[in-house]
Amino acid sequence: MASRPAFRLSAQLGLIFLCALAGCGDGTKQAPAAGQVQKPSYDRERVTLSEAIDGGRKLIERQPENSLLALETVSLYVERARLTGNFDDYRDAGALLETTTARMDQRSFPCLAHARLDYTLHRMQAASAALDACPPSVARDEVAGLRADIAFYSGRYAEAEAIYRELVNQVGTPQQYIRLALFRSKMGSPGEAAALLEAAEKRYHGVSATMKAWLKVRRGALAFERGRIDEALALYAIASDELPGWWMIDEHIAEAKRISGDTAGATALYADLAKRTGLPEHMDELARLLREGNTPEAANEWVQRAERLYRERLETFPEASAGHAVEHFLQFGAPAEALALARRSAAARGDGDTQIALCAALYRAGRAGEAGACITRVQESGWDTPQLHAMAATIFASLGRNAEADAARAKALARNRYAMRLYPVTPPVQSEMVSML
Amino acid sequence: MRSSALFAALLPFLATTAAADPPYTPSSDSVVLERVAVPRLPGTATLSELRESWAVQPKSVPAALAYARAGVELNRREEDPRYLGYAEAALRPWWDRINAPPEVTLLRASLRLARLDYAAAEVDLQALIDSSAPEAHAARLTRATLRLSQGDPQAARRDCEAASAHVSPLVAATCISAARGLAGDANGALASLEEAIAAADGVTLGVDIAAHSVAAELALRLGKRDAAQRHFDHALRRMRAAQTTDPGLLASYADFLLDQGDNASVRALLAPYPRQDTLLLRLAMAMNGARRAGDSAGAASVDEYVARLAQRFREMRERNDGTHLREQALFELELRDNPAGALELMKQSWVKLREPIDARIYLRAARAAQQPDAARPVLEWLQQTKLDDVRLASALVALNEPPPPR
Repeated sequence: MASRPAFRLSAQLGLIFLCALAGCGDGTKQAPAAGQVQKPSYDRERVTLSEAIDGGRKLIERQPENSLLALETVSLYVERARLTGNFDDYRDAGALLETTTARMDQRSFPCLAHARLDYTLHRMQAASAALDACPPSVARDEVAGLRADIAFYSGRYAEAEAIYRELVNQVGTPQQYIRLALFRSKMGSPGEAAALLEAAEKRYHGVSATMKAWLKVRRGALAFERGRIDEALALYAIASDELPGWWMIDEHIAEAKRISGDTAGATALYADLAKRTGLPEHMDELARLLREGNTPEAANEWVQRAERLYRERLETFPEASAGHAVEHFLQFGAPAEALALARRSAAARGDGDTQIALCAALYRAGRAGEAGACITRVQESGWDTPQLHAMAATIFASLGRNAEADAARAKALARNRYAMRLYPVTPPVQSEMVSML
Repeated sequence: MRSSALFAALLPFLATTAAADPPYTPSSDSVVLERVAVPRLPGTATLSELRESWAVQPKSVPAALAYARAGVELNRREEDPRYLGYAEAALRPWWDRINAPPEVTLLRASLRLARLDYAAAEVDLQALIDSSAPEAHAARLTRATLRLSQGDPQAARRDCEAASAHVSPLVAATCISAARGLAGDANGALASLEEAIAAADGVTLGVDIAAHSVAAELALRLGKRDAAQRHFDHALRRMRAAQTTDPGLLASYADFLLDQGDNASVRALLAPYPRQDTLLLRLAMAMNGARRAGDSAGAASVDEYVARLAQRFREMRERNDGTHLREQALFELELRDNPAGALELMKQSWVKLREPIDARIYLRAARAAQQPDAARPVLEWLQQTKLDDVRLASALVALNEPPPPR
């Protein structure tokens, strides 16, 4: 899933907005009065969003022709999916959007809703086609922003950057700053990205606790990617104050604990996350740690559960889930299957992270030459992250390209002193008796 | 895979006839015994950096594995058992644990193989193979390598085939071809392997060198010297371009040159590698061969190398290092004119290692010692495996003939 949030409103306001669209009567839940606002938490946000969605569903039953109501409910589904990580909401959002579109006049095709959902689910061609169908009356900034996002995740970086910069200069909303920040963070400018995220934060005057927490998490993650673990943990702690109980914050804290050597703390947190969220990514992380502990066989259950979940997702969301599943199959599955998934994912998205996953899968499958060509292409594309250089170091070393391996390692460490530990590359299956280098 | 080459470094060491000089004691602490380069592998940290990371977190599996793997890799290149010691130290917290992390278990098995603790290594490999861990496939390949070195091509092939769906086509072809080649089908094995080599589009340096080394060995068994030369040339070119050292490959190629009496090329090939025992031995053999042929240029060096090798074999015995038995037999046979000692060493070695090279040395030692009957285990093994090797065929023909004059 695309990681950029689109939190337009707090969950509470989402409900109010729905009511405004539908003209709720006295029996409809009202926003609490000023002074009565309860402290936000993940559970509260989730419950409120769920109530908003349920309310929206009921209102749609009463006003099936009210397309604005339906489209707002679609966006609430997407918002909840981003909050919870639950893919079921994307399915429901998609179904509702299709039903609504079928009822609408062809001239009022909800192009932005389609484009946003398709983009989120990594269906870049469909997203582009939806934008192409937008009438001139649709907000041009919205269309331009999405076109830039599609360009970014299709590997057309120059095009993406030009639009992002224009949007920052011409529009200047937090969303535009965030877009440019995420872009620059992948292009070797994490300092600029951090400044842009701070700028986005300063320009955000909304009330969404999720948005506030998300911004802190992103800043923390950026610090983490620069090897600044303490700074990252401090930002995660502030994020946790903004939205206590959000698994997304905890997964970042667990990752920081792991790399800091607090294996027990990381294991406990991932175990809690795996149970709380049921997300296969957390199960994989837990399995990785369990395999290094005193009961490695305890990892098997989690590996199997994660695999089941990935396979279910792959059935329903082939484009969006392939990239996530690659990581699992690279580590725990058959190299050929990991490679097939990586190819599928790369066909859907051309950004550096997706291409790096393909390089890793090629390497794991014993195709080191192709992996070397793949990683060189990513290097030449302008993508510039510690992960890229760490992987390049390993692949080049395996091919005997020593000078390139050493140069790549130096770059990786310059960007993040933990890079070689943070981004290990799963080696190809071969006899331990044969040199890996 | 590159079994003969790899297991050259793993041979057992038992009694030696080397003279027992008193150990050297420096006169003061300021005496420099040896200047050691900082060991480093491209694209990774230096060994000392890895050791520091491990020392900070000695129970961290990733830190321990990184340090241990570097030790294993450096031992492969340098044939220096100190590096194996480092690796063992890194894995110490898990050394006796039944349920060790799978990656640790796999590396532990390799270290146990290097120490010739086959029983413990087999337990580790079997545990991985029986598990659902992704390391099971690498464990199968590792066991296949062991089986090849033990002269059991059928068992090796079963493991190769079981792993083949999870490895690159060239790794699978190399493994299966090595097994087929030991089972009397060197021709078919070489054809398959060369096909796989031609189809392979970029594999790791280690796999590439291993594939060409096996192909060269198969070609030599068939008497196809030109083909062997081509494969050796390719592997050596890759090795040199990567500025690495592969003692197994260099030893195999040196043996090929020595068989042709090309002592000069062996000297040129191995002169840069006096630290590796297997290579110093072959360098000494080449110089000795040249001296016998009347070339007195390196005569003094031969004596020096012989003394150095004798010292190293003695040191191995003193630290109970059970490796290099094959090399010691060659040393006794070729440089100390002690065929009886060589034969005894090969008898002991044969219990664990049965590769074509072992068979050849065994037959030569039996002939030189004028004890052709002592070679019965080799003859039985040849009958059992149906191994087809022109070099062995000529050694068999010569077995009952008087040894050539020295």
